[in-house]
Amino acid sequence: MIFHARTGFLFASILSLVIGLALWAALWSQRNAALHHWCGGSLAAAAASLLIALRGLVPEVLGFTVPIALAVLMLSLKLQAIRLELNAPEPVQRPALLLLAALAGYELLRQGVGHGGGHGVGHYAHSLFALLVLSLMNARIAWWASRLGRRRGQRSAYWIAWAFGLMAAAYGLRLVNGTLGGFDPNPLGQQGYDALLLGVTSFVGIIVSNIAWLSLALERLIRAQVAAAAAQARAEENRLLGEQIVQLERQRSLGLLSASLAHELNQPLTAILTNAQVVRRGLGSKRIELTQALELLDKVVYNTQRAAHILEHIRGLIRPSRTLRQPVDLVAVIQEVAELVAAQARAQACRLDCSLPQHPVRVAGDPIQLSQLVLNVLRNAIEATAPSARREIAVRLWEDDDGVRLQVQDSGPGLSAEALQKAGEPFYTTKAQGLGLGLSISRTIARHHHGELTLSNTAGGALCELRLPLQSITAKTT
Amino acid sequence: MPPAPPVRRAITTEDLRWGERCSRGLVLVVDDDCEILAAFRALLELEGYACETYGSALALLRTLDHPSPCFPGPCCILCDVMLPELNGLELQRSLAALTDTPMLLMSGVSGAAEVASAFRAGALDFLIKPIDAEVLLDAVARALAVSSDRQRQQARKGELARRFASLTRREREVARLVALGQRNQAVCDGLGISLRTVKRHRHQVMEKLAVSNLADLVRAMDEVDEPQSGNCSHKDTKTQRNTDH
Repeated sequence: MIFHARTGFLFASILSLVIGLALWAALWSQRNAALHHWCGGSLAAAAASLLIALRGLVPEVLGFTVPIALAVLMLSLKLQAIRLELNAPEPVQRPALLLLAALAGYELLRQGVGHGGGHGVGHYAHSLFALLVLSLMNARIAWWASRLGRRRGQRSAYWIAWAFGLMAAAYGLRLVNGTLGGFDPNPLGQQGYDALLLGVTSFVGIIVSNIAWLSLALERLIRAQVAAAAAQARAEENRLLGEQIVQLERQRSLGLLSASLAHELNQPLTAILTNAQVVRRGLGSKRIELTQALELLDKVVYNTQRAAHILEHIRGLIRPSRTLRQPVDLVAVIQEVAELVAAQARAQACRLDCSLPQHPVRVAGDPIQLSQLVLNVLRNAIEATAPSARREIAVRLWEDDDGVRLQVQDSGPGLSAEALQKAGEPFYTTKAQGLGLGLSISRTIARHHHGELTLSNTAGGALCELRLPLQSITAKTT
Repeated sequence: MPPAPPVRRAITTEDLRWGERCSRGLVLVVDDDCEILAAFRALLELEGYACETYGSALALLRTLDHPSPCFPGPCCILCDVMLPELNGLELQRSLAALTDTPMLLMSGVSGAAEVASAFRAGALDFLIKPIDAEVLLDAVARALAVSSDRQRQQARKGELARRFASLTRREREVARLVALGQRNQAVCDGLGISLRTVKRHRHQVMEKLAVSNLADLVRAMDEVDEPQSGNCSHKDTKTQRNTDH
């Protein structure tokens, strides 16, 4: 006798119990089915070891049958834990059948021996059978654990594979020895070096596999934290990028408008220059009255304001901005944007017919973004009328119970079925020079304002409708 | 002479002042911006020109279709390129078929293509807004000079045509042959009439066409025989009507 077997099993039992419970407690915060299976397996192992340690002191069924059942159960649970980690759980029927088959085989062999009362290999066939089953099951766990270890960030599973692999080898060695040499297969009986090896391997296996399981959980925890940080960084980046895209698109649409905007700015400048020169020439040669000069100067002032007004819109659209929430008068927004696109409309001989309420229509939102939305919609409408002989755009704004509605109806040919379906997707465009971002950005802006932008075809052409919630009366500040 | 205006009304002092301005020159300004129209009108009136303003090319065309009585004097059109409905270049093309009034185009921003097509269609100048008063007045003065030149030419041609119409058939034949450089003897041989008759006809022709020597006669006959294209008197509806004395 190399060591006292009962003490060894008792020790193994306590070790399994303590480590199992400690692991359960340590990882309780990230508990999942795999952890429960794993720790449940440890408890089953503890119970099995304890019963074997008490073999002879307890009824035979508790000393032989139950421990084998518990051992098979424990290995099934550990295997299932690993397969759960791999997201490939085994159907419950299979381990259950295996358990029953193992138990039946073991009992048959044991009862047969009991009645036969013979000696030799046949005498401890049930023990050899148990060793075979346990060895194969350990090997299976080792294989699955190595599969888990192949996955990135779960290298610790290799330790589990090693631990179970060694145990499978130790069981196998004892099985071979038992078959060839013939020793008392009773674990509490005759011992060879293989028994010592099995004992040491078991202790080391229990410790190593559980520590590996712990580090597996820690690795996962770290990975989750890193992933969360990365996701947050990505979200932040997306937000910044989105803001930049919105602003770039705004600048781009202004760039496209620039020719007509230059014309628009030139008009008041021309009037200013000429009026000022008339005053200068007239007064220089005393050919005009003072009243006429004053009138002309008033015109200079008026046209300067006109030019400044246009510039202000442009500057507003160029300036980067964070989304604001303030009361915005949609009527004013539409009028301003209509002025901006007036030149483009004129250039394309397109008539812009705005029917707007006389009173301000207030919504809560960002004036620049709403201008951008209206600008996009109006520009789209103007461009849509290009193929038509009759080029008209009707802009209507009204309030109803649901909120504010803005409809832009153009006299163009309408949208094709594909365009209707895909319009608003980023980078979908029917225009040769378009980026395909205008409508998608407009939709995003509408959503930011808790509204909705829809496109449809009517008998007269395409209809673009914007719905926005009305700002509550109490929130009116200006 | 052109027919008298269908409706006659008393001439007021205002009309007289307007007439005075018109004799300096009438500028028709087309722009869709009323502020610019007002400014140009102020400038042109300060300089003593008559000025009519139109908010669109169509408005101008409508007025040309139903001309109101106007006073003699040179005339030019100052038109913006970027106009609703009918833009400046299209107006230029429409007007080219209607009148040879000199045309000035203006624009805030124009591509080379726009400018080139304007000049190809016969624009006298292309002004970039904002336009300096000096530049504008200079261009207007040049355009009006061209206009009165054309009008003078038209008047002379009309006069000549009238004089030519007063020739008898035989006189015309003689005039043609003489203008071709034939001597009197050759003419009388060609037409089978006596030398004296030819001389008499020739004398009549010189008298009726108000030319004093052979060179002038040849020039006059050349102008009369010119194919009636380009600067035809009946085309210049507005400016020509009252300018012939």
